[in-house]
Amino acid sequence: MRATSGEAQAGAEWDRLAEALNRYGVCHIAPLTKPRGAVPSDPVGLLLRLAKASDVRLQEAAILLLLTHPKLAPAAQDAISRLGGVQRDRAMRRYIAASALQRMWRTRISLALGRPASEVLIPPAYLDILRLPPLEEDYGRATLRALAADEEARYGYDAWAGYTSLMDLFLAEIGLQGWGQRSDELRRRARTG
Amino acid sequence: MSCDAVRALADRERLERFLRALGESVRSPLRLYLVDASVLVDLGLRQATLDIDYVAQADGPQGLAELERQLPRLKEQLNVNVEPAGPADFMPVPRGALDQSRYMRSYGPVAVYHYHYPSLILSKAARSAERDLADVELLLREGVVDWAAVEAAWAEVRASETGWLRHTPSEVERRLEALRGRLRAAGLIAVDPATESAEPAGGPAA
Repeated sequence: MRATSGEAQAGAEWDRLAEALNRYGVCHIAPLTKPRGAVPSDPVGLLLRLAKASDVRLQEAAILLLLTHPKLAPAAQDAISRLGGVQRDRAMRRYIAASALQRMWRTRISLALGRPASEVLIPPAYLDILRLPPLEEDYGRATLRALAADEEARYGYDAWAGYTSLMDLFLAEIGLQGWGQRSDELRRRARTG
Repeated sequence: MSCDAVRALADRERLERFLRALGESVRSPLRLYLVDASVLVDLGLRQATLDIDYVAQADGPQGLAELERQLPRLKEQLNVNVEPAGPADFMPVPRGALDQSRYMRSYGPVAVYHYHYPSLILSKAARSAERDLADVELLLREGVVDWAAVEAAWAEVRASETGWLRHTPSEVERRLEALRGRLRAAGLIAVDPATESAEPAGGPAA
């Protein structure tokens, strides 16, 4: 059976975004074929396209990207400011989830990535909009719990299970070789500003 | 309610209510070992937990079957999340860990224990979520657990060839080493210069 044009477009976007994530050292997904067309390299563009992706694994990858590179938090906020409606709401939730999960697992992440635990914390944002408890409460767990409960009430899926299984995946993968290492091209870009 | 995550947190009072109700619901003798955060809640060291994790043992199949039958009703009635989960589900535990678990009290035929403290500490070190690490500090600070016993348990567990279901020995060793550093920095264990091994600061706890 031939793929519809929508499926083909989604497949092409998968390849491009998976390749872009791999270049940031986020390696839990891979392109199915060599991507055709431009692979986003600037973080705002990448985060924006992740938020708009039809595949939930690409949407959730924004959380892993932020956990791996917390310095991208301003770019994530910039991307969110360009979104509207449900896409914006869900992107805000993923940002908060990343902030909470980072605080819940800070030592473990820093051990696995070989970085000091004092590394940049994802700055709190959107908590007041969604009326969530502060990230300091119970190492982020209270925030995540409230976020998940609210998300389940609003969208109907078990968000707590989604976030915890995503984190299980992340903790299992970050110990692997190459996780978090940016590609040469991204490093060059970072150096030249 | 469809989602366990939105059940109420179990504070000490809710935990107590659950144990009492369980004691009134089963007839066959049962040993219930509290695990993880429910131990800290029971000790009054933490306010509440999302899940009451436990390991259960009975002398015959009847006891466990009764527990299995009663739990869904009690969970619903008391609005608590109760889950079977113990350290041995993730990594090896020392021989006789259950026998060395501390007996707390009984509710009818249900005898309640705190799961072997050194094994709890090791499983917390293996997982190393921030709250686990804070719990370990709390247990040491309050003198609930003796660090030398944790190291002895680790020596036995480390030598085990099987049971590494979730974590590898080297991963746990790395996380344990980071934890030792944190505990030394907090003055909760000291370094014995003769052996280079960590000893409890100010002598062993009870």
